[in-house]
Amino acid sequence: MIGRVSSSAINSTLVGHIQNNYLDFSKLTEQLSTGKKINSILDDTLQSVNIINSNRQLGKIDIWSANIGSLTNEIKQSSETIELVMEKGQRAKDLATSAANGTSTKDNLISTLTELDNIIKSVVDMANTSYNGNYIYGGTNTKTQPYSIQYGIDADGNPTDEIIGIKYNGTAIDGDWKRQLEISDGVFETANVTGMEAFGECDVEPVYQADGVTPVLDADGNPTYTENSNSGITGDLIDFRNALSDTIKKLEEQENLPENATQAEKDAIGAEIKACYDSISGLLDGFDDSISQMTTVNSKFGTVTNKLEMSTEALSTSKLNLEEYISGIQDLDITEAISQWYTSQTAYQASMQTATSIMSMSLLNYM
Amino acid sequence: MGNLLSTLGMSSSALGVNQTAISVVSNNIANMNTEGYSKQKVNLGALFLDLPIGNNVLSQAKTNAGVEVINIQRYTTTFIGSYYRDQLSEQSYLNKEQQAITNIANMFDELKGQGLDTAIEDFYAALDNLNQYPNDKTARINFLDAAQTLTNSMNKTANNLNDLKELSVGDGESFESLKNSEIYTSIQAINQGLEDLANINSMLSRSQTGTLENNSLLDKRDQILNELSKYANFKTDIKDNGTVTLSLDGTKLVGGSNVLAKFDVQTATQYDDYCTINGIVNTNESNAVIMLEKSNGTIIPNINKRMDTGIVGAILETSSTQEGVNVNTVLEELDTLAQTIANVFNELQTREGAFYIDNVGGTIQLSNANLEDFTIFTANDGTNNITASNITINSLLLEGDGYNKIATAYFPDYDPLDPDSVDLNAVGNADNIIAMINTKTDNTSAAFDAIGNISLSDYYSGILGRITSATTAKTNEATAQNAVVSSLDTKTKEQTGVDLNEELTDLVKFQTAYSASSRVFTTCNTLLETLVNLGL
Repeated sequence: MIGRVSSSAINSTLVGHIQNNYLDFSKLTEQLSTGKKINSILDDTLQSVNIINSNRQLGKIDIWSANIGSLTNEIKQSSETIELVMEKGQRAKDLATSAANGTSTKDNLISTLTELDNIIKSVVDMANTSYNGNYIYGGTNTKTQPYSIQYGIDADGNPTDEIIGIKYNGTAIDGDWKRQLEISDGVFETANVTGMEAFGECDVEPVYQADGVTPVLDADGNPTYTENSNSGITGDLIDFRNALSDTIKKLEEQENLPENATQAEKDAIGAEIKACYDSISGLLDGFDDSISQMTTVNSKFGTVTNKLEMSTEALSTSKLNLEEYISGIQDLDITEAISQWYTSQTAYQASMQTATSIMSMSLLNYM
Repeated sequence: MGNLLSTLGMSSSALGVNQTAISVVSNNIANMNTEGYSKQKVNLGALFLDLPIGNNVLSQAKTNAGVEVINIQRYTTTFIGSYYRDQLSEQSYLNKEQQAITNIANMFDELKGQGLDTAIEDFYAALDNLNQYPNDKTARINFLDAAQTLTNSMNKTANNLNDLKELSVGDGESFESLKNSEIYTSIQAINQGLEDLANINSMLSRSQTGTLENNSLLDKRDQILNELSKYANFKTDIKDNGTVTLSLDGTKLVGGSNVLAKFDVQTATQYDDYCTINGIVNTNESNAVIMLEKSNGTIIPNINKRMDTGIVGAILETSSTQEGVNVNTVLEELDTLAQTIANVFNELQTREGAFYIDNVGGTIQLSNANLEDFTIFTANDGTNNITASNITINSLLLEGDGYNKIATAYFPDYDPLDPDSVDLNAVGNADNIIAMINTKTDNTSAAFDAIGNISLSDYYSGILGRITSATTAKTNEATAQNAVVSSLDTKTKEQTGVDLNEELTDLVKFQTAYSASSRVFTTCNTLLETLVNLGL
C-alpha cells in the first residue's frame, strides 16, 4: 500500500491549498483597502501593544500642545495688560513731574486730578481683565473682581465720589494663587501672577466710631481714614492723588486768604504749598520702582513664553517621531503590497484552476 | 468430475464472485466521499475440490473448481490508532483554548474601536480640561461624562467576560444556564458516544470478520473513537474481534456491550449540596462540576482535575483556573484596576483640605460640607466591594447640580479649626485636580499598591500585553498541532481512502472477467446442447 494515492486525499489537500491561498489573498486585500498592515491586535499582537502605547503618548502630546497654546494666549493677554498699565503709570509719573515743578496753576492741577482719576479707573479696569471668563490677576479667585476702587465719605458717613483707595480681592501672594497646566508628564507651568505682585494695592478704610456708622472726624471736621496697605503702582497712584488734592486745597486756602493777611500768614501758606510740591516730587522715585516692578513681572512672562515655545518645538518633534514610528509599524508599503496582492491573486487562481482540472480528471473520462 | 457440467458450475460461480466484486467496487465508489469510510477490497482465491489428487494432469485439472471470495478486506493504516487519537485530542484542546483566548483578545482590541485604554486617556483629558476651567459647568459635566464612559467601558468588558464564562461553564447557580453551556453539551456528546460505542461493540461481537457488515461497523467504531477523543483523551483497548474497552484513568467506561460509567455535570451549587449531604470537603472552584456515575450506582465526585485533555479539558482550564491568561484571571485583573481607580480618585476627592464648589444664593464659593458623601466612584449594587462589573459614578454627582461636588480645590495647610487657612473665594484653585492628573506619573500612594505602584495605563498595558502574547503563543501552538493532525489526516486518507481510478480499473477488470465467464458459460451451454442433440 505504500505510495498509494487516493482521490479523497488529493481533494482535501487541494481544498486546503485553495483555502490557504484565499486566506493570503483576502488578508492582503484587507490590508490594501485599509492601507494598514495591522488592523486588529490579532494581526500582530506584539507590535499592536507598541502602537497602542504610542497612540496613548500622541494623545498626551495633543493635550499638552493644547495646554501650551492656552497658556501662551493667557500669558500674552496678561503681558499686554501689564504693558498698558505701565503706559498709564508712565503718564501718571509725567503728570507728577509737571505738577511738582510748582509752575502749574490751580486750574491746571484740577484738570490733572481729573485725568488722574481716569487713569486710576482705567488701571483698575485693566487689572480686572478676564480671559476665558476668569479674572487673570486674581490668583485662584477667578470669579471675584481682583480690584475695586474705594470711595471716601462725608462728615455724615455718606459715600462721596472721591477716590481714596484701590483694594485687591484676589488670592494673597503667600496663598495658593497658582493656576497651572500640564505641559509634559508631571510638569506643570504656571499661567498667572497675582495682581498683588504686579500692581500692589492701597487698601484704605474710613475710621468709624464704636457704632460702625458715624465717622471719626479730625480737627477740621473731615472724616479720617486708615491706610491698611500701600504698595505697587496702585499705591503710588493713590499717594499722588492725595498729594495733588492736598496741593489744590492749599492753593485754594492761599486764594482765600483775606486781603489783610499778614506777611507771616502768607509765608506760612507758601511754605505749606512748597511742602506739597516737594511731597509730589518725592513720589517720582516710587513711580520708577513700581514701573520697574511691572517690567520684572512682564519679563517673567517673556521667560515663560520662551520656555513654552521650546516645549512646543520639543513636542512637535516627538510627535513627528512617534507618528513616523507608528507609521513604520502599521502603514503598508503600497508598492510591495500591490505586487504581493497580484502574486497571491495569481496563486489563488492557479490553485483553483489546477484543482478543477485534477478533480475532473479520472478514468471515467475514457470509459 | 472433469465434465462439462462442472465447467458450467465453475463459470457460474465466477459470475457470482465477479458480481460480488463489482458490488464492492460500487460500494466503494458510492462512499468515496463518506467521512471515515475505508476502502474495501475483495480478496479472491482459487477453489479446489477436496478430492485425492492423482498424478496425471487430467485428474489434477479435474480438481479445479473455479473462484471464491476469501474475504472482503478493509484498508487500514497504522495511523488510525491511539497515536492519531492522542494528536486529535491535543488538537481539540489547543484549538478550544485558542478560540477562548481569541474571544478575550477581540474584546480588548484597541485598534478596532474604543477600548478601555481610550477611556482611561479620555478620563485624564477631561481632568486636564477641568484643571483649566475648574469652575466651569461644561468642564465639570465633561469630566463626569468621561468618568461614566470609563465605568461603562469596564462594566461592558467585565460583562462580556462573564458571558463568555457562562457560555462555557454556566453561571454556577442556575441549571438552566448550565444546560446552555458548552461543557454540558460536550458531556452529553460524550455520553452519547459511550452508548453508541457499546452498541457497536455488541454488534461487532456478533458479526463475522471480513464481511461488508463487519467492515462498516469497524469504520463506525473508529469514527466514534475519533469523535470521543476530541472531547477528552480516553484510553482504548481494542480486542481481537474489534470490540473496544474504553477507560479514563483506569476507570472503565465501556466494556463489551455495556456502558460501565456515565458522565454527569452539576452546577457549583448542586455540587455544594452534594458535598454537604455526603460529608465531602468541597474544593471545587469551577462553575460546573463533572461527576462519574458507575452503572453499579457508585459515584466518583468532582473529576474536573482528571479531565485535562480535549475540548472538555480546555473549557475547564479556560474558565475555571486561576492560572495563565483566561476569563478568570483577566476578570480579576480588571477588578483590581476598577478598585484602584475608585480608591485613587475617591481618596483625593474626599481628603482633608479638598473643597468643592457650592452655589450660595447665586454666588459660587468653596465648601467641604459632607464631602465624604461625594465619592466619585461607587458600586452600583450598594456593596462596598467595587469590581469591574459594578463600578459606577456616585449618583449624588449626577443629579441636579451634583457636578459642582467634584472637589477641584485643595489647601494643603487646611485646618478645620482655623477659618483663615482656606480662602473660600478661590474657586479657580484646581490643586486637587492637579493631584488627580499627577496620578498618571506619581503612583507611590498606598492606593496604587494593589497594582504594584505603576500607572493605570501601564497596568492596563500589562493586561493587554499578557493577553496578546498568550494569544500569539496559543495560536502558534494550535497552528502547529493543526499541521500535525492534518498531515496525519492526509496520510490516513491516502492509505484508506477510495481512489476513483483504482475503482474504475477494478470495475473494468471485474466486468471483463464477468463477460469472459459468461462467454465460457455460453460456450459450455452450446457444448451441452450439442451433446444433447447428439443423443437425439
